Amino acid sequence: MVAERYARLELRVATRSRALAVAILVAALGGIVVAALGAVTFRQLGLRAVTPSALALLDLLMLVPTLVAVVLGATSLGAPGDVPLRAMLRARGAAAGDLALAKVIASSAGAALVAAAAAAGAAAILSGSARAADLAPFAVIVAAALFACCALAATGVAVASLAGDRAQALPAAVAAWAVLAIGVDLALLALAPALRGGGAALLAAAALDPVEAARLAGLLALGADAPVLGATGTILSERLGAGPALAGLLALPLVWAAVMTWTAGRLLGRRDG
Amino acid sequence: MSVVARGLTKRYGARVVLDACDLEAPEGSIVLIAGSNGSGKSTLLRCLAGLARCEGEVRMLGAPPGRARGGEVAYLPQSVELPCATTVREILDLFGADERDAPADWLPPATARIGGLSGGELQRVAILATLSPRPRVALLDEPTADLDGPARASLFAWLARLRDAGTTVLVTAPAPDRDELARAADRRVDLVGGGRCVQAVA
Repeated sequence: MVAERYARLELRVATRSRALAVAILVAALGGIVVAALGAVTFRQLGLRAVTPSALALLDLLMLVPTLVAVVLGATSLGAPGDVPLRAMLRARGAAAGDLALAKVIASSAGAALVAAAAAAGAAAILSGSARAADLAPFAVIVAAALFACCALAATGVAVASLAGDRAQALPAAVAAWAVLAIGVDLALLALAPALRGGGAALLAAAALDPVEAARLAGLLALGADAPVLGATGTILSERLGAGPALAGLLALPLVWAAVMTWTAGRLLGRRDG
Repeated sequence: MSVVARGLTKRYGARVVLDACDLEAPEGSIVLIAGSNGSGKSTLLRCLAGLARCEGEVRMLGAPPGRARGGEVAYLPQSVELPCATTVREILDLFGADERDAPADWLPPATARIGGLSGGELQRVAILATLSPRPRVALLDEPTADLDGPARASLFAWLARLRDAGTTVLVTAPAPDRDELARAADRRVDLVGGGRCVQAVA
């Protein structure tokens, strides 16, 4: 009950920040620009084709909202007024885990607004030429982006719970985002030849990276095949089939979010006494 | 007894802030916690609220600190700050506080932004969020800070009403307000050198 009220308050605080309003505007403009630049390709091939335009849209939806999510999560602790308010709530019986969950929900919702703005910007341009068959991949990409936002918001809150203050939490959280959004992808590309036959290692690497999992889900929704899917995506779709692989990849960010939220609750409980 | 501490000890590294403190607060009483700067008054309240780990046996309403039933123990931190982007109404809603519980003219407008309040107004919002709905134990760390004379008098009368209704109030106060609060208190705990506690019944 307290956690629910706290999540609503946190969300109100997040949505009143100018930085989030700017991020929403930038994401919407980004969606419009990417969709407009690829409008001709989209009109000819639709979204069920792996074109540079579709990949750009996928990357926009995966990278910008997840960055916002991790920043919102990392800065949600230690803001002016946050520590005394948490102390008052804890004394009233609110569990640290509930307070961490409230922060994750609010940060995820803030980032979801950014993802929705980017999606709406793209949809505004694409709606004129979209076909019915484009709806499903578009919905999967947006869902994957939202799930990745939950995972990164939880990561941000966990990092903030571990860090001494916001000045430490923010760079650490952005570094974590860089590793998850770009670093693991690059590492997989570099290691794939050496891990020939080491499918389990590649799958484990993808499982440990919610952004990569969400991106692979998006690629599968676009109908990507071996060269674009990369070694991990190819192994996954070959072993499980495209449908189960897609479901598994969509579930991974949510599992990650649950684990990180639990971790954040434990760390916050230890930090607050 | 609503609050019982036996041998409560708190260390920060090698420094002993509270040294085997014994404390008892019956139901429906006001306990003044007095001591000089750095004597451990705030630490004692944080330990009782379950916000700082400590050694010894502590029971709040029969349960360990932080384990009492939800809403029965309330805590007002020292130098309270609240999120600037929220409104008075949102803070009160968060705690389920009812503004009718406050003395007349206690609150700034419900729609006022927290960031635009004066120190005294902010303190009054935080006090109402702490004392409403009525807790069974209220731990108040310098609640008179930033309050003017009439507001302090209203607060003392409010605390007396809470005591009469059965709430146990443990309260610290800066030196200028201590004597006034001591007159209303049923017990007094003095934190003296080396973190030791001396309890007296008024």
